Amino acid sequence: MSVDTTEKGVILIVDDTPTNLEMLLDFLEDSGFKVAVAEDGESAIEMAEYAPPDLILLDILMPEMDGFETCRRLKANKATQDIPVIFMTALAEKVDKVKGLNMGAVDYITKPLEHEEVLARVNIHLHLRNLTKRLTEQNKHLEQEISERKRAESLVSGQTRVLESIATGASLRMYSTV
Amino acid sequence: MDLVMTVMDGFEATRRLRMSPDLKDVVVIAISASVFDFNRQQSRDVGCDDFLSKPIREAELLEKLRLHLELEWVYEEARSVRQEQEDVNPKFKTSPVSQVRGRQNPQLMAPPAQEVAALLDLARRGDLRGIVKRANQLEELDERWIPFANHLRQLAKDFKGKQIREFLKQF
Repeated sequence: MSVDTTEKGVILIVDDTPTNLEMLLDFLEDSGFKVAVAEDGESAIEMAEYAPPDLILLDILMPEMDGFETCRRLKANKATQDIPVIFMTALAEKVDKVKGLNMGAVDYITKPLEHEEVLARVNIHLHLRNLTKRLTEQNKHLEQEISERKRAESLVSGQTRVLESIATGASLRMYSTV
Repeated sequence: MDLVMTVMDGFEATRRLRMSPDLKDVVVIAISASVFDFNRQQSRDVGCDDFLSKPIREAELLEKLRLHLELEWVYEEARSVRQEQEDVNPKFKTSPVSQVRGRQNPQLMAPPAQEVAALLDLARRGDLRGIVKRANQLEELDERWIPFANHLRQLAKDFKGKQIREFLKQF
Protein backbone atom coordinates (compact mmCIF):
# COMPACT_ATOMS: atom_id res chain seq x y z
CA MET A 1 0.00 0.00 0.00
CA SER A 2 1.49 3.30 -0.97
CA VAL A 3 0.43 6.71 0.21
CA ASP A 4 1.12 9.84 -1.79
CA THR A 5 3.76 11.27 0.49
CA THR A 6 4.13 14.60 -1.26
CA GLU A 7 0.60 15.42 -0.17
CA LYS A 8 1.53 15.55 3.50
CA GLY A 9 4.63 17.64 2.87
CA VAL A 10 8.33 17.42 2.09
CA ILE A 11 10.69 17.66 5.05
CA LEU A 12 14.40 18.31 4.57
CA ILE A 13 16.53 16.80 7.36
CA VAL A 14 20.07 18.10 7.87
CA ASP A 15 22.55 16.30 10.12
CA ASP A 16 26.18 15.24 9.82
CA THR A 17 25.62 11.95 11.67
CA PRO A 18 24.37 9.10 9.45
CA THR A 19 22.68 7.25 12.33
CA ASN A 20 20.62 10.34 13.19
CA LEU A 21 19.63 10.75 9.54
CA GLU A 22 18.66 7.12 9.26
CA MET A 23 16.49 7.22 12.36
CA LEU A 24 14.72 10.43 11.32
CA LEU A 25 14.28 9.30 7.72
CA ASP A 26 12.62 6.03 8.75
CA PHE A 27 10.41 7.64 11.32
CA LEU A 28 9.22 10.56 9.18
CA GLU A 29 8.59 8.34 6.17
CA ASP A 30 6.58 5.97 8.31
CA SER A 31 4.58 8.99 9.41
CA GLY A 32 3.72 9.72 5.80
CA PHE A 33 6.12 12.50 4.84
CA LYS A 34 8.37 12.73 1.84
CA VAL A 35 11.90 13.17 3.19
CA ALA A 36 14.92 14.88 1.63
CA VAL A 37 18.34 14.35 3.20
CA ALA A 38 21.40 16.60 3.42
CA GLU A 39 24.59 15.70 5.28
CA ASP A 40 25.91 19.25 5.62
CA GLY A 41 24.76 22.87 5.63
CA GLU A 42 25.97 23.72 2.17
CA SER A 43 24.15 20.79 0.57
CA ALA A 44 21.03 21.76 2.51
CA ILE A 45 21.08 25.28 1.05
CA GLU A 46 21.58 23.97 -2.48
CA MET A 47 18.71 21.52 -2.04
CA ALA A 48 16.37 24.11 -0.55
CA GLU A 49 16.99 26.32 -3.58
CA TYR A 50 16.67 23.51 -6.11
CA ALA A 51 13.46 22.04 -4.71
CA PRO A 52 12.10 24.01 -1.74
CA PRO A 53 10.81 21.68 1.02
CA ASP A 54 7.85 22.53 3.26
CA LEU A 55 9.95 22.40 6.42
CA ILE A 56 13.58 21.94 7.48
CA LEU A 57 14.88 20.03 10.52
CA LEU A 58 18.36 21.42 11.07
CA ASP A 59 21.11 20.10 13.37
CA ILE A 60 23.04 22.90 15.07
CA LEU A 61 26.41 21.31 15.77
CA MET A 62 27.94 20.43 12.41
CA PRO A 63 31.51 20.77 11.14
CA GLU A 64 32.32 23.46 8.57
CA MET A 65 28.99 25.27 8.35
CA ASP A 66 26.96 24.97 11.56
CA GLY A 67 23.17 25.12 11.86
CA PHE A 68 23.10 28.79 12.83
CA GLU A 69 25.06 29.87 9.77
CA THR A 70 23.00 27.59 7.53
CA CYS A 71 19.80 29.12 8.92
CA ARG A 72 21.14 32.65 8.47
CA ARG A 73 21.86 31.98 4.79
CA LEU A 74 18.48 30.34 4.22
CA LYS A 75 16.75 33.37 5.72
CA ALA A 76 18.86 35.81 3.68
CA ASN A 77 17.80 34.16 0.43
CA LYS A 78 14.45 35.19 -1.01
CA ALA A 79 13.87 31.75 -2.50
CA THR A 80 14.22 29.96 0.83
CA GLN A 81 13.41 32.52 3.55
CA ASP A 82 9.79 31.45 4.06
CA ILE A 83 10.57 27.79 4.75
CA PRO A 84 10.11 27.07 8.48
CA VAL A 85 13.29 25.89 10.19
CA ILE A 86 13.28 23.77 13.36
CA PHE A 87 16.63 23.38 15.12
CA MET A 88 17.75 20.08 16.57
CA THR A 89 20.13 20.10 19.51
CA ALA A 90 21.40 17.59 22.05
CA LEU A 91 20.15 18.16 25.56
CA ALA A 92 23.70 18.38 26.83
CA GLU A 93 24.73 20.99 24.29
CA LYS A 94 24.61 24.46 25.72
CA VAL A 95 23.31 26.45 22.80
CA ASP A 96 21.78 29.87 22.73
CA LYS A 97 18.14 29.15 21.90
CA VAL A 98 17.24 32.83 21.69
CA LYS A 99 19.97 33.35 19.11
CA GLY A 100 18.41 30.71 16.92
CA LEU A 101 14.89 32.04 17.27
CA ASN A 102 16.06 35.57 16.48
CA MET A 103 17.59 34.19 13.31
CA GLY A 104 14.18 33.15 12.10
CA ALA A 105 13.93 29.55 13.29
CA VAL A 106 10.41 28.69 14.45
CA ASP A 107 11.21 26.04 17.05
CA TYR A 108 13.69 23.76 18.82
CA ILE A 109 13.65 20.05 19.47
CA THR A 110 16.15 18.26 21.69
CA LYS A 111 18.00 15.03 21.06
CA PRO A 112 17.48 12.20 21.80
CA LEU A 113 14.36 12.91 19.76
CA GLU A 114 10.98 11.95 21.14
CA HIS A 115 9.07 10.76 18.10
CA GLU A 116 5.70 11.97 19.29
CA GLU A 117 7.11 15.38 20.10
CA VAL A 118 8.83 15.73 16.74
CA LEU A 119 5.63 14.77 14.97
CA ALA A 120 3.54 17.21 17.01
CA ARG A 121 5.88 20.14 16.41
CA VAL A 122 6.36 19.36 12.73
CA ASN A 123 2.60 19.15 12.23
CA ILE A 124 1.97 22.44 14.03
CA HIS A 125 4.48 24.31 11.91
CA LEU A 126 3.34 22.75 8.66
CA HIS A 127 -0.19 23.77 9.57
CA LEU A 128 0.91 27.33 10.37
CA ARG A 129 2.90 27.47 7.18
CA ASN A 130 -0.08 26.33 5.13
CA LEU A 131 -2.34 28.92 6.79
CA THR A 132 0.19 31.68 6.12
CA LYS A 133 0.54 30.54 2.54
CA ARG A 134 -3.22 30.57 2.04
CA LEU A 135 -3.51 33.99 3.65
CA THR A 136 -0.81 35.42 1.40
CA GLU A 137 -2.55 33.98 -1.64
CA GLN A 138 -5.91 35.36 -0.58
CA ASN A 139 -4.35 38.76 0.05
CA LYS A 140 -2.85 38.75 -3.39
CA HIS A 141 -6.19 37.75 -4.84
CA LEU A 142 -7.99 40.53 -2.95
CA GLU A 143 -5.45 43.14 -3.99
CA GLN A 144 -5.90 42.09 -7.57
CA GLU A 145 -9.65 42.38 -7.26
CA ILE A 146 -9.39 45.84 -5.77
CA SER A 147 -7.10 47.10 -8.49
CA GLU A 148 -9.40 45.67 -11.15
CA ARG A 149 -12.39 47.36 -9.57
CA LYS A 150 -10.52 50.66 -9.42
CA ARG A 151 -9.68 50.41 -13.08
CA ALA A 152 -13.29 49.67 -13.94
CA GLU A 153 -14.45 52.59 -11.86
CA SER A 154 -12.10 55.06 -13.51
CA LEU A 155 -13.20 53.74 -16.89
CA VAL A 156 -16.86 54.26 -15.98
CA SER A 157 -16.28 57.78 -14.61
CA GLY A 158 -14.33 58.68 -17.77
CA GLN A 159 -17.17 57.49 -19.96
CA THR A 160 -19.69 59.34 -17.81
CA ARG A 161 -17.75 62.57 -18.41
CA VAL A 162 -17.76 61.97 -22.15
CA LEU A 163 -21.48 61.27 -22.14
CA GLU A 164 -22.15 64.39 -20.07
CA SER A 165 -20.18 66.59 -22.44
CA ILE A 166 -22.01 65.08 -25.43
CA ALA A 167 -25.31 65.68 -23.68
CA THR A 168 -24.43 69.32 -22.91
CA GLY A 169 -23.31 69.88 -26.50
CA ALA A 170 -26.51 68.39 -27.85
CA SER A 171 -28.73 70.50 -25.63
CA LEU A 172 -26.82 73.66 -26.64
CA ARG A 173 -27.34 72.84 -30.31
CA MET A 174 -31.03 72.25 -29.61
CA TYR A 175 -31.29 75.72 -28.08
CA SER A 176 -29.62 77.35 -31.06
CA THR A 177 -31.89 75.65 -33.62
CA VAL A 178 -35.02 76.54 -31.68
CA MET B 1 42.23 0.12 1.58
CA ASP B 2 43.36 3.23 3.37
CA LEU B 3 44.80 2.27 6.74
CA VAL B 4 44.13 5.50 8.56
CA MET B 5 40.40 6.22 8.70
CA THR B 6 38.04 7.50 11.37
CA VAL B 7 35.54 5.23 13.13
CA MET B 8 36.99 1.99 11.70
CA ASP B 9 40.57 1.92 10.42
CA GLY B 10 41.89 -0.17 7.56
CA PHE B 11 43.42 -2.82 9.80
CA GLU B 12 40.11 -3.54 11.49
CA ALA B 13 38.19 -3.39 8.20
CA THR B 14 40.53 -5.90 6.59
CA ARG B 15 40.40 -8.17 9.63
CA ARG B 16 36.61 -8.22 9.32
CA LEU B 17 36.71 -8.79 5.56
CA ARG B 18 38.87 -11.83 6.16
CA MET B 19 36.33 -13.25 8.58
CA SER B 20 33.53 -13.06 6.03
CA PRO B 21 33.18 -16.25 3.97
CA ASP B 22 32.21 -14.24 0.86
CA LEU B 23 35.00 -11.71 1.09
CA LYS B 24 37.92 -13.59 2.55
CA ASP B 25 39.49 -14.12 -0.87
CA VAL B 26 39.10 -10.59 -2.18
CA VAL B 27 42.44 -8.95 -2.89
CA VAL B 28 43.12 -6.13 -0.45
CA ILE B 29 45.92 -3.66 -1.07
CA ALA B 30 46.70 -1.44 1.89
CA ILE B 31 47.35 2.24 1.26
CA SER B 32 49.14 4.41 3.76
CA ALA B 33 51.13 7.60 3.90
CA SER B 34 53.22 6.04 6.61
CA VAL B 35 56.82 5.34 5.76
CA PHE B 36 57.25 3.06 8.74
CA ASP B 37 57.76 -0.60 8.07
CA PHE B 38 55.60 -1.72 10.97
CA ASN B 39 52.49 -0.46 9.14
CA ARG B 40 53.43 -2.55 6.16
CA GLN B 41 54.03 -5.58 8.39
CA GLN B 42 50.87 -5.02 10.42
CA SER B 43 48.77 -4.71 7.27
CA ARG B 44 50.11 -8.09 6.14
CA ASP B 45 49.36 -9.55 9.54
CA VAL B 46 45.67 -8.62 9.30
CA GLY B 47 45.45 -10.13 5.83
CA CYS B 48 46.28 -7.46 3.27
CA ASP B 49 47.81 -8.90 0.08
CA ASP B 50 50.03 -5.95 -0.64
CA PHE B 51 50.96 -2.42 0.33
CA LEU B 52 51.10 0.91 -1.52
CA SER B 53 52.51 4.08 -0.02
CA LYS B 54 51.01 7.49 -0.58
CA PRO B 55 51.34 9.50 -2.75
CA ILE B 56 50.29 6.70 -5.06
CA ARG B 57 52.21 6.43 -8.31
CA GLU B 58 50.18 5.25 -11.24
CA ALA B 59 52.76 2.83 -12.58
CA GLU B 60 53.13 1.16 -9.22
CA LEU B 61 49.36 0.87 -8.76
CA LEU B 62 48.85 -0.61 -12.22
CA GLU B 63 51.65 -3.07 -11.63
CA LYS B 64 50.11 -4.27 -8.36
CA LEU B 65 46.71 -4.62 -10.03
CA ARG B 66 48.30 -6.62 -12.83
CA LEU B 67 50.01 -8.84 -10.34
CA HIS B 68 47.06 -9.56 -8.07
CA LEU B 69 44.24 -9.63 -10.57
CA GLU B 70 46.29 -11.50 -13.14
CA LEU B 71 45.66 -8.84 -15.74
CA GLU B 72 47.42 -7.98 -18.90
CA TRP B 73 47.46 -4.29 -19.75
CA VAL B 74 46.76 -3.40 -23.34
CA TYR B 75 47.85 0.14 -24.06
CA GLU B 76 46.28 2.84 -26.27
CA GLU B 77 48.09 2.08 -29.53
CA ALA B 78 47.05 -1.51 -29.59
CA ARG B 79 43.36 -1.21 -28.89
CA SER B 80 41.69 0.44 -31.86
CA VAL B 81 39.58 -2.57 -32.70
CA ARG B 82 38.76 -3.45 -29.14
CA GLN B 83 37.61 0.05 -28.41
CA GLU B 84 34.79 -0.32 -30.87
CA GLN B 85 33.79 -3.65 -29.48
CA GLU B 86 33.69 -2.59 -25.91
CA ASP B 87 31.49 0.14 -24.64
CA VAL B 88 34.08 1.59 -22.37
CA ASN B 89 33.15 4.23 -19.83
CA PRO B 90 34.52 7.64 -20.95
CA LYS B 91 36.10 8.07 -17.55
CA PHE B 92 38.48 5.25 -18.24
CA LYS B 93 39.35 6.19 -21.83
CA THR B 94 42.82 7.37 -20.97
CA SER B 95 43.61 4.35 -18.85
CA PRO B 96 44.72 1.06 -20.24
CA VAL B 97 41.95 -1.37 -20.96
CA SER B 98 42.19 -4.45 -18.88
CA GLN B 99 41.95 -7.83 -20.38
CA VAL B 100 40.74 -10.09 -17.71
CA ARG B 101 42.44 -13.38 -17.21
CA GLY B 102 41.07 -15.44 -14.40
CA ARG B 103 39.33 -13.19 -11.93
CA GLN B 104 36.30 -11.18 -12.88
CA ASN B 105 37.04 -7.47 -13.00
CA PRO B 106 33.83 -5.46 -12.79
CA GLN B 107 33.86 -2.43 -15.02
CA LEU B 108 31.76 0.53 -14.10
CA MET B 109 29.40 1.05 -16.99
CA ALA B 110 26.94 3.92 -16.79
CA PRO B 111 23.36 3.89 -18.10
CA PRO B 112 22.27 6.41 -20.80
CA ALA B 113 22.57 10.16 -20.17
CA GLN B 114 18.84 10.53 -19.69
CA GLU B 115 18.89 8.04 -16.84
CA VAL B 116 21.93 9.69 -15.23
CA ALA B 117 20.18 13.07 -15.45
CA ALA B 118 17.13 11.66 -13.68
CA LEU B 119 19.37 10.27 -10.94
CA LEU B 120 21.16 13.59 -10.58
CA ASP B 121 17.80 15.32 -10.22
CA LEU B 122 16.90 12.95 -7.37
CA ALA B 123 20.31 13.59 -5.78
CA ARG B 124 19.84 17.36 -5.96
CA ARG B 125 16.49 16.92 -4.22
CA GLY B 126 18.12 14.86 -1.48
CA ASP B 127 15.86 11.95 -2.38
CA LEU B 128 18.16 9.08 -1.39
CA ARG B 129 15.30 6.57 -1.21
CA GLY B 130 14.43 7.47 -4.78
CA ILE B 131 18.01 6.82 -5.85
CA VAL B 132 18.07 3.37 -4.25
CA LYS B 133 14.77 2.52 -5.92
CA ARG B 134 16.04 3.61 -9.31
CA ALA B 135 19.33 1.78 -8.85
CA ASN B 136 17.36 -1.41 -8.18
CA GLN B 137 15.36 -0.90 -11.36
CA LEU B 138 18.50 -0.23 -13.39
CA GLU B 139 20.21 -3.47 -12.54
CA GLU B 140 17.07 -5.38 -13.44
CA LEU B 141 17.10 -3.77 -16.86
CA ASP B 142 20.70 -4.56 -17.71
CA GLU B 143 23.16 -6.57 -15.68
CA ARG B 144 26.07 -4.53 -16.99
CA TRP B 145 24.78 -1.67 -14.84
CA ILE B 146 25.04 -3.67 -11.64
CA PRO B 147 28.40 -2.18 -10.52
CA PHE B 148 27.07 1.32 -11.19
CA ALA B 149 23.90 0.56 -9.23
CA ASN B 150 25.86 -1.02 -6.39
CA HIS B 151 28.08 2.01 -6.05
CA LEU B 152 25.11 4.38 -5.91
CA ARG B 153 23.26 2.21 -3.42
CA GLN B 154 26.25 2.03 -1.11
CA LEU B 155 26.73 5.82 -1.16
CA ALA B 156 23.02 6.36 -0.53
CA LYS B 157 23.08 3.93 2.38
CA ASP B 158 25.94 5.89 3.93
CA PHE B 159 24.13 9.21 3.30
CA LYS B 160 26.94 10.48 1.08
CA GLY B 161 24.76 12.83 -0.94
CA LYS B 162 27.59 15.08 -2.02
CA GLN B 163 29.62 12.14 -3.30
CA ILE B 164 26.61 10.86 -5.22
CA ARG B 165 26.23 14.22 -6.96
CA GLU B 166 29.93 14.36 -7.79
CA PHE B 167 29.90 10.79 -9.02
CA LEU B 168 26.92 11.38 -11.32
CA LYS B 169 28.30 14.61 -12.72
CA GLN B 170 31.22 12.68 -14.25
CA PHE B 171 29.01 11.03 -16.81
